[in-house]
Amino acid sequence: MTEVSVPVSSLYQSEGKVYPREINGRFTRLRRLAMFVLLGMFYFGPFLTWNGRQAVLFDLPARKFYIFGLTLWPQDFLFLALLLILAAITLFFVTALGGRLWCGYACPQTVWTEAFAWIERVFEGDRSKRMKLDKASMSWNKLWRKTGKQIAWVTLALITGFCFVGYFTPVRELAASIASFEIGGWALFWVLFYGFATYGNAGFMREQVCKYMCPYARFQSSMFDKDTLIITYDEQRGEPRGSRRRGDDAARESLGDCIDCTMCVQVCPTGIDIREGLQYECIACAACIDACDSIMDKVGYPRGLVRYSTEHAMNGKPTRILRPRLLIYSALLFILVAAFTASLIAKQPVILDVLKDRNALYRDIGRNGIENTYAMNVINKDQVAHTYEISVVGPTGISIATPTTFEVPAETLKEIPVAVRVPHEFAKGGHEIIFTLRSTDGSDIVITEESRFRGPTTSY
Amino acid sequence: MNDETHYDRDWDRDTQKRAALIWISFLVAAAMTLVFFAFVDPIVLVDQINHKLLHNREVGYSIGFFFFWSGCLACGWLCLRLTRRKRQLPRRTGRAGPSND
Repeated sequence: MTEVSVPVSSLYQSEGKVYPREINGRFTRLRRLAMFVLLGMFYFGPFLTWNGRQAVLFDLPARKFYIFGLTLWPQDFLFLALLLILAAITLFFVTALGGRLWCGYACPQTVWTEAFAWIERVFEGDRSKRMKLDKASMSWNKLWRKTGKQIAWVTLALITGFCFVGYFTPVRELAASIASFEIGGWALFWVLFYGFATYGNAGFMREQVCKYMCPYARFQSSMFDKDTLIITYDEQRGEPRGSRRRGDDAARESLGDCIDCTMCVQVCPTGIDIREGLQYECIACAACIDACDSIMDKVGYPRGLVRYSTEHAMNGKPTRILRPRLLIYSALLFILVAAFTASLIAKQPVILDVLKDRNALYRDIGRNGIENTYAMNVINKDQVAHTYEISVVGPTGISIATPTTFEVPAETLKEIPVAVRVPHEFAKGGHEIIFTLRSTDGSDIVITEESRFRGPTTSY
Repeated sequence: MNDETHYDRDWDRDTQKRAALIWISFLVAAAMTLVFFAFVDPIVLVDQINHKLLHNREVGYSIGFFFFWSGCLACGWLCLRLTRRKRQLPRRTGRAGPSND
């Protein structure tokens, strides 16, 4: 390190010089990596294919959700609910263990804010340059920088809106319809709506969303305990804070390690001072850690005055990782994963619905006995066609008078009228009957459905 | 990360409340839409309304979502108005005080 004789405090208060150091911090790099990975997944996600169709598609017009090999029908709502609950519990688990890791690295709000802030830096330069530019009167320089930024922002927002809608309607058809100016009104509306929301949230509102609008920011403190990883200022080491000259040993003795350069406050996107303790506004982006570490390096003090730690560790107590809270979350996660896997394995690729004809309770067809008719809905959820055979169990002599074998094409609902007959002597009153649908093409699908058979109440 | 001057960008109390109202209503409406349309096919609703502009499922989903959103907005807005503290209500005499919803 070279010797400098200027006061350290004045050096580090000029943001323009120190600002690039913030970009080079470890956590800033990690955050940027997370941004590239997550945005990459989002933007390329709709274009992945699986077995010749879009890999991830929540096909709202067709009411079918495709997630790689899995096809979910509205009847499979339980799966979707389980998946969402699973995601929520995972989030609780991660939060209890690592604090606001979600907020700092993975939340769409953070990720897009990062992307929009990066565009802003490209066009308008670092903090001080931007402040100067905003104060300056209109010039050609200001005009092209501001216009360029807006064009880039709007473009990114529109691409975001397009990809978002691409998860809900086949993306290739959507792209073709835009290219030929034939996009449907509602599709266009949602592209613009989501684009506008991205532009507003990431371009203008930014961390105000975390501070004032996000419900999760407020209630996640209930998942925190004294062993949760938080970003914290080491008060014992840092206080009393104060500026000093380099190599001023007298100052070193009377003061703590905090040189009061306020870098941690200047880099904070929510504008808090981490030295005042944990605050609900802190989104755990770790920018203050990077800022402080770079200063500590410069003044030759050890890193970690602001660092990831736990309340217990700060108070000199051991940090426990295995604790009741985490064990409960793990148990819940385990149960949910088991339930999800079990229901996935037990999931039949067919749905059978039997509706009894309500217009006529029964029909007397002479020597052939009593007949009831049913509307049978067979939904083949599989991605290949199947042939099925229907059979019925009930009162003695029960039989099906309509064709019992039929084919249902892939991912199709077929309505099949079924007439069931029972001889007179066994038909009196109401009877429970059970329909069984069995695949005859060796695919081993069996499903049953109960219904009722009605005969006359008095015998002949 | 954003390194803008943040101090002058902080929202006042009214803006905070409105922004929270709009965003929370949005999230709740999205969840309601998801659950509702998992059980109800929007084409049924569209058929019921039977208007020439309404002819497919997308319309049904969109209208359903905005229906829920506006319901949540109305509910939240009324709650905010009804739970205003006393000093925020218009004074009995003179001009109306500052609104804070």
